[in-house]
Amino acid sequence: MSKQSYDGVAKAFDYFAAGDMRRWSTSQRTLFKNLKGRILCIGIGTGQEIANFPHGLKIIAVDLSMEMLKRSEKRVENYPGKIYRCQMDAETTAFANNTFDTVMTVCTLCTVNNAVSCLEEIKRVLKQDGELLMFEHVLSNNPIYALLLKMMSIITKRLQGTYLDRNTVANIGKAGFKIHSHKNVYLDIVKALRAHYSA
Amino acid sequence: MALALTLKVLLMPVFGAFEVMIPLGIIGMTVGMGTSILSNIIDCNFVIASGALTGFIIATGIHFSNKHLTAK
Repeated sequence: MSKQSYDGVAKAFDYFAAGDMRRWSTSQRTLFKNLKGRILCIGIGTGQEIANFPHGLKIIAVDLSMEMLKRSEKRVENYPGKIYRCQMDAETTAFANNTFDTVMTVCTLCTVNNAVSCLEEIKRVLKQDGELLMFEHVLSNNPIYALLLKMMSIITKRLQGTYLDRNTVANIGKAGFKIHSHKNVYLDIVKALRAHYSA
Repeated sequence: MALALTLKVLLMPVFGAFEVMIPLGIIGMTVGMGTSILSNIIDCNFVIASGALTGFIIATGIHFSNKHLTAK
């Protein structure tokens, strides 16, 4: 999807994501406790998850859509810490190699054009001993749920640019990361994952 | 299926996208398809009652499936 398309999605984004953010806040807070050092947030969107960030952090947040970034303004201002926002493509960021101690994504790898190339970009900007935190929805291993996700994905990728049928767990491995913490949040579809460089 | 789609849009902000899409998708597929095939030969009240019962069974199944998967 193009920048313009995501700008269009931004208008209805808070409406559709409101329930998720409310239901998942406890799991997100537990995951975000691991944020440390120089932090990069890929795909901040309208900033709904900012309410679940630990206080007092300095975070650089990027998003492809200027409209999404504009809509995150109030949440960024209210955050008791610092969030610096930039408009960037998650697959080609402007950061130097080995810049960040922690990189996080929240429902981002379902939306980028190429999830593996986005993860490779994250690997490039993440320090060797850094950690990748992901709160993502993935394709289920259950054949009934998987069939449903594949069917719904036909609609959601056109309306919202969201792919519900991505095997993000496998993509993480393909990009050279190793998952060391894996928690199902809803069924085996929504997951809180922690990964680092694989040896 | 049209009813399931409308309900999804209305219920998503309250209960969450996946919590709504998964049960309603399965209920829509099974009950929707089943009743449309049988609509000419069975009574409307029976369709409503069997739809509600099937929906309840599916929602309960998903609830326990979720408990099992998130406890891992």
